[in-house]
Amino acid sequence: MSLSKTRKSPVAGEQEKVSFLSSLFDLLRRQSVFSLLCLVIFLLLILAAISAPLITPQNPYDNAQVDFFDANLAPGSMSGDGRFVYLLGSDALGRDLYSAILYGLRTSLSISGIAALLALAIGTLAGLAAAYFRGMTDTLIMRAVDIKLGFPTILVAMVIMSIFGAGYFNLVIALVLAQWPYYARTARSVALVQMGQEYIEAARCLELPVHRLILVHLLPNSLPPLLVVFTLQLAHAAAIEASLSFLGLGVSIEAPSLGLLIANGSKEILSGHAWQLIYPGLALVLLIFTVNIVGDRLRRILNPKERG
Amino acid sequence: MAEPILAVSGLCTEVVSDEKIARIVRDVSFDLYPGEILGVVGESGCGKSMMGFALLNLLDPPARVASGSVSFAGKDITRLPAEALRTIRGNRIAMIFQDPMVSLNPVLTIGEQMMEAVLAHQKVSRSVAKARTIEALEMVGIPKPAERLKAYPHEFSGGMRQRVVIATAFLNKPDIIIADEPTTALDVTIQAQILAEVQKMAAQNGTAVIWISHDMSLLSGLADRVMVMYAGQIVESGSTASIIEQPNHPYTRALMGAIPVPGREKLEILRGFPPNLLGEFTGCAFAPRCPLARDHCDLERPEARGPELTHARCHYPLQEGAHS
Amino acid sequence: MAAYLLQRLIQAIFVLLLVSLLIFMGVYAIGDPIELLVSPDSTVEDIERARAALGLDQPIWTQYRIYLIGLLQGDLGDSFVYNQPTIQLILQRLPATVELGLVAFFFALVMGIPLGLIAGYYADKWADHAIMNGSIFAFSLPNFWQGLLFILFFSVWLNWLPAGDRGEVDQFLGVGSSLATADGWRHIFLPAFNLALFNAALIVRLTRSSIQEVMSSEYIRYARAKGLSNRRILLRHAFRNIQIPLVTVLGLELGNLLAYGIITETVFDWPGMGQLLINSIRLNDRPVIVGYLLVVVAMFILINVVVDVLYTLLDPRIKISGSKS
Repeated sequence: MSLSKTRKSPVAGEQEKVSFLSSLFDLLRRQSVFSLLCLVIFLLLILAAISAPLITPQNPYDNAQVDFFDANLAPGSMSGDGRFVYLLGSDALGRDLYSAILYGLRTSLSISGIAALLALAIGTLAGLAAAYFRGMTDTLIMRAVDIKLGFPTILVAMVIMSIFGAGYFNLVIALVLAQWPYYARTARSVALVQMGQEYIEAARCLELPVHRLILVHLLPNSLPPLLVVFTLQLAHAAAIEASLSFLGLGVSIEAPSLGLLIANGSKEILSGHAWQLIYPGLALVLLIFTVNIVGDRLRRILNPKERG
Repeated sequence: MAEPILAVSGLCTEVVSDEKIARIVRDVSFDLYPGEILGVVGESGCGKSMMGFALLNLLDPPARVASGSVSFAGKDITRLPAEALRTIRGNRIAMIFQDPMVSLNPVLTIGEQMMEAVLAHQKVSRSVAKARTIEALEMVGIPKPAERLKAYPHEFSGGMRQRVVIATAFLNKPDIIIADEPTTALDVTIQAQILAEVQKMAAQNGTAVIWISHDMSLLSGLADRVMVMYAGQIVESGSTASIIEQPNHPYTRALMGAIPVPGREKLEILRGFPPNLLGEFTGCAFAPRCPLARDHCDLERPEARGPELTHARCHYPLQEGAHS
Repeated sequence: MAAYLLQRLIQAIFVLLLVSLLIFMGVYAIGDPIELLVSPDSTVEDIERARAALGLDQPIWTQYRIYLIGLLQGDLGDSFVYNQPTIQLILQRLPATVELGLVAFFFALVMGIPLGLIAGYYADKWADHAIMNGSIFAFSLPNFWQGLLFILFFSVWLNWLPAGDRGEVDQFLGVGSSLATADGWRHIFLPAFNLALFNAALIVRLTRSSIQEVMSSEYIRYARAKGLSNRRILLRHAFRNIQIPLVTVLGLELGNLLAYGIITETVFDWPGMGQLLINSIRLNDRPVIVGYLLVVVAMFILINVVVDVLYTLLDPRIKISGSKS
């Protein structure tokens, strides 16, 4: 088709998908070794979270496996039954902290990952629809976006959680509601630029169906900037998940979560068991920091002159 | 004649991007004498503006001075440390920028932006600086200057802003003024008034002026001497009278074609565009557009001939052709 | 200017109405607070009587109407838990929150702007890279954990600064404030720093990118051609221009300070509005939750108006008129 001559994205987009990870590696390597290292650490964290049951000595949320007499053991202590070493110590309930952190990471990553993906999908569709239909649709969507963007994400999430109550899925919903506007804004502005280009005109003249036009033509061009928003919002979602869980407004109190681990660790601040506060936090920071660095470098690569 | 106040020798500038190097100014040499008004003429893109910036070492990356020297008062401006350079800029060598709409800071008052130029170089009180500012604004014909000091640039028209920039250059009574097409935005009467002021300064204070322009007719009434630039090179230079009456280079003549002269029937229009500056020229840079080019012009680079480049950088100069 | 302010006032009332409705409906959906309020061994009649006394037996629209009428008279209802007017509870705690927010704001500016100027001025040099990666690290530190670490290091291990509460409060500008006493300053330092760090990181990034943009403009080159010192070019010519983008973001930052202040107040046991909110959410004290949110929304609107007015002071090209939206 002659359309693809003037622009390469629809075809190239599919090739990019195949080698997405390798081209991501390549891009970051050219930026700096440091950013590549961050990507690798982030991927290792995902891997560790997925395979947590396989690489931990116990399931810290299964009471049958936890020995209460091993409470508050310092990092490196041998367990009471002599079967394993508490690498990062144990907490006040006798749970292996290393295991608890990996299980907590599972929760943090799955909540923020699912929320970010859903917000990406909903926000992108809303943004594309606003750009494509203009008029009332555009006004309504963008007004909602503006109102949300006037308030800090964490405040919005906090209010929603105070209405819904703590829980895994409530938290996912709260994060999606608080974060979709960022994707909508980005998708809309990219799409508006693309709408002005000739190939869209041509596709409209050919009377291609709307959904095809959006999916095949608008979406591929919106993906790179959306990827940047995705990484930064993913990091933000992980931070908010932990913060709300810490406040008791996140996941339910018995669920594994880094925020709750830190909340428990904070009770040990005066008793000299500082490792219970430090290690879960370090894991959380490592996650957020590496994602932020990857997002920041992607932003620089894709749009070197963009502000902020 | 006296010692030159500015001696430029072998000046080259380049712009580096993506491992490609564009050589914008190529081996420019000239002397400037006190009280002299030197016109620099050429089409846009010929490197004349960048040469002006290079004289004050004002190029920002990716542009830079590649080689050559600019001697002022026994020092090479291209190699001067920052503080020494600062005391020369705006003080002993002032520059008038081309575009008045973007050269003034939009959020500072006109008065502040002029007075600071005085205070940066001279230990005088604010009231003295203010008095000088008002005086300079009067010279360029701004009515009621004392009342306009508190105005912001957006409250001035383009022509008024340009006069502010010109007046700023006069403030410290510099040895040299470099003016980059400063009168394009002005109407004819104001232009005439400013040209008269410039000529007066040159004659009375011995201020040397480098006046960059694409307009040969303007220079004909102002400059003592004219340099013609093409593709980063000086292709011809000489006294204004000789350049106008007996141009040697076909490019000079083509530029003059743009001047309406009584009695001449048709205007010559210069066709085509200046060449790509990425590589070296194999022959004469002007050959592709030259109506008089021969095969030889594409093969060998013409060198400037004669002392102080009075002869054209051309294999077949017009005046020689006329003689033979 | 007057027309502009009037327009903003009408807008503000409309937004407040909308928010009050949304929040009221939302909070209504949380659940019946009555079970939390009566003792477990009270009879059905006791519960019904308490319900009627609090107006909870009315349909939701009637409850909202009664609430709105009260709102117009400055009455946000009584707290279920404290048996005290909500507005009084909030106003008691407002000074502590504002004081913490302002000190944090000051810390964020003092840290953020100079570092941003340095990073922007030495763009792509090592100082720039160090500052920018540092800023990413700073906003990757979850505010509550970072606060707990401060307590661990500076209060527990080093014993330099106190870890909680406001300390001695004295009259300062007519309000009871920690800023009036040395002990108060010792108490506010850690929480304010905790709250400031995240915002300082954002200010660094914004300052840097704005400076970089401004430094490449023609009027900066012209300022250099005039022979001005680097110091004057950076601090007067460039900085005066970036104040405009800075002010926009600083408005947002104040919003962030309010939001993250909730967490800081909880971590440092700071007796402000945020701590009140978290306690009220835990106890399902509806009138306080709704009242807090209305006060916060009103503060956001106020911040936006202040930002708009600041614009006109900073940018001589803008004049506020009634038609501006």
